[in-house]
Amino acid sequence: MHRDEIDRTSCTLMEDDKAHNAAGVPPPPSYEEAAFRMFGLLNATASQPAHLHSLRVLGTERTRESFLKNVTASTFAGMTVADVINNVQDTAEKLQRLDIFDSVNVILDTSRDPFAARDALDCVLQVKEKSRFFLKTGTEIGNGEGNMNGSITIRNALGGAEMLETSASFGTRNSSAFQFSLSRPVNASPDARVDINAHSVVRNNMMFSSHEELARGVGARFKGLSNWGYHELSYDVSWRTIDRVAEHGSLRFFCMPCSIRNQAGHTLKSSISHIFFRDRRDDSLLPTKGYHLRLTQELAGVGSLGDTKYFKNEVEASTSHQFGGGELLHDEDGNIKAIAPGYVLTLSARGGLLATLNDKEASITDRFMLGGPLSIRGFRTCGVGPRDKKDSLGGDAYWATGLSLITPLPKLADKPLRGHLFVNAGTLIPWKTGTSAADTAQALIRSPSVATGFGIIYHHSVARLELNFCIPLTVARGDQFKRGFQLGLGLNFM
Amino acid sequence: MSRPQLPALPTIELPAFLEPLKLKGFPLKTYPATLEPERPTKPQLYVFGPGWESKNTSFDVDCLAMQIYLKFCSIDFDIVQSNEPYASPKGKLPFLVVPPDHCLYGEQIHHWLQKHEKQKKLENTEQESEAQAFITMIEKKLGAALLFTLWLEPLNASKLTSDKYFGDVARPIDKLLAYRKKEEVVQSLLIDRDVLIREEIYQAAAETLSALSVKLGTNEHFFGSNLDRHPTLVDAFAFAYFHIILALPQITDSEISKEERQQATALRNLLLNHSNLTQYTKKMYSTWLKQ
Repeated sequence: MHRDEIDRTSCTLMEDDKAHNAAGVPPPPSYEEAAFRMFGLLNATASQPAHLHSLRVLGTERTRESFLKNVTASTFAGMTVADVINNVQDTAEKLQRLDIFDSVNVILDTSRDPFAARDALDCVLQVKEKSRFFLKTGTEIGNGEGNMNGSITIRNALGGAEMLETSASFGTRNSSAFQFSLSRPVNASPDARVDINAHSVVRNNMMFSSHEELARGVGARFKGLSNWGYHELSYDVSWRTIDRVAEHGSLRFFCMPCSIRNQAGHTLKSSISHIFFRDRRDDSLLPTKGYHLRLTQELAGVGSLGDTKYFKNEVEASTSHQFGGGELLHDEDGNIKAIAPGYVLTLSARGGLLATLNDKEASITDRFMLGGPLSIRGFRTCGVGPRDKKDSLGGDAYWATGLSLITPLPKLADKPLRGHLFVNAGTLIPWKTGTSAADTAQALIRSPSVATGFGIIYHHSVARLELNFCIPLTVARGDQFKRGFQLGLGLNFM
Repeated sequence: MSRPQLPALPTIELPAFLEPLKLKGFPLKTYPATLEPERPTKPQLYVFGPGWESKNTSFDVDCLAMQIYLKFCSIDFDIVQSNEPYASPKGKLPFLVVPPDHCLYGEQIHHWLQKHEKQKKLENTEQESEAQAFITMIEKKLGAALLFTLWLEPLNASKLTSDKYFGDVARPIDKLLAYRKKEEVVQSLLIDRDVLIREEIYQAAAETLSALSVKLGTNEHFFGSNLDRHPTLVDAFAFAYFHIILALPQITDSEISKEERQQATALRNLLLNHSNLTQYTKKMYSTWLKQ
């Protein structure tokens, strides 16, 4: 792609314009046409030798030069026009994804350096830095909880795309939460970050388990992408205090240390955990096709720190298939208004096992909870599994599965509303390390909690809202089931 | 302003054809529970423990007083050494759990005893109020000296008390909690006085001990000369304080200065001056708590 060639193309375009205008014949060449010609040109010149002679980044004020050098280092590798263009494009995209620039414009030109070789090119990247301070306040709804929050973010704090975030939130489940994190890209890559963080959270579990929990902690985390998906590796030290055990909090015989009251007190956890996430769904809130897989492992009791020792594993997966749909929907005037959604069948499953590595029982904060509109519909939040009267105690092993058929609604197919038929099943049991596989399997299938029902789903851009009519089919004694209508609001449904 | 009486809301009967909506027949099957919670069959007293002398007694003065008082009242109960004040609704041990699962603390325990007519009362209200005065004196004067001995005598605090109270908590949180507790103790002691002076606190304790010694005399219990008289709440408190003071181990590490060691055992030595009180403590212990 030499300068004169490009010039010639633009000239031709201009001449064409004039010709059209002179003859009074519209239309001028469309954007598509111009792009088509451009592609043709690029194709023709792609394999010609070229190399990048110089690269300049304009418009940076705070970003460090060494950091920019690191980001753009790989740009100089190409030997042909195609290589150079691709590399420059990659670099520009990288800069964009670092989330410190508002815009990145690329200018590629033959080199102006008189001593440059004939096929040398210069690249200029024009960037506009994002504002450094970012203040946000808002209200949010998440998985079964709402909160109001405020945060201060300092972007590009030290000139190397470091992000300093401080946030505070007050909500229904997390009465108060303060968080701080300082993160930076690894090796100037937008796909890998490390951060150090600290938090202090008061969690109010009165609704299902008569206690409050205060957790304070510090940690370090690595987030990155691999060929398989997203990874997160973290180390955390967390000091948890369970207190405010309500007066009616459940009580147990003291040799059964599972009651809430006996859970009260301080625990210190030093753990390393790994999360793997692979998402191939077209939409994480209401997928129509694709699958996702999420694996979590946590080993607590790392180093000689803390009194909490366990190994915890959790897996979550779903797959969706679409039947029919895809045809265009027209309104009365014949205009296209939407694409028919068709029928979607979603199968999802979750499972988890927590094995303690000392003779202590796991703390209620580490145990699994099950039930509620986001996991097993037809049961109250944390309504499945071990409990003592109204208090859910959590369990050490569980499985849960759900099959949903999502249908278009007659006359409302173009709206984000769907009909919903579902079956959910699952169980949550107490488990001790060393229990034989046969006994475990027996316990896991002995008392399944199963519910079915139908309802409607509203797919909002930030969350999914469900109103279901639930029919519990089988329950374990003590389960908090819910006949009839149940409202679900959240991000991660089963 | 009184609120106007609202007419009662009409109850809406569901039409018969909508009856199935109530889903009375569901769930179709109920399986056994995933966990059968065991219920306590007799009252349980949650305390700090185990004690210095034996596994069954508490090392905390309030817990020990309640423990022996329940024995006086001939309650059949279990001791739970929970060491976790957060388990209590008021954040303080002891508390009593009575079947099926009522949780009682402080005055509630006395009300419960009263309701079940187990409470051990003195003969007349005059004696009652005098006993109450003694209890208050023990709690105020002897209590301050005991807190001082346990938490503010550096030797006891670092070598004995902190480990006993926070030994179950992971490091380094135990150190932090011990530090906080110490601050709390200082604040509570400063409520009644402007400055903390060791001699002053121990002087007040010495006076209290003399008064108690005189009151007890050669009797078996406070407020009772005849043998069939039962010990009462004032005995529970007196015993608990005496026992904790006497049971606290003495540190004999020769590397520690003599003065420090003397300070650590100052309160104990004051009590040892009154042989009738020490005799009383031993007797009560062997009668009611030894197993």
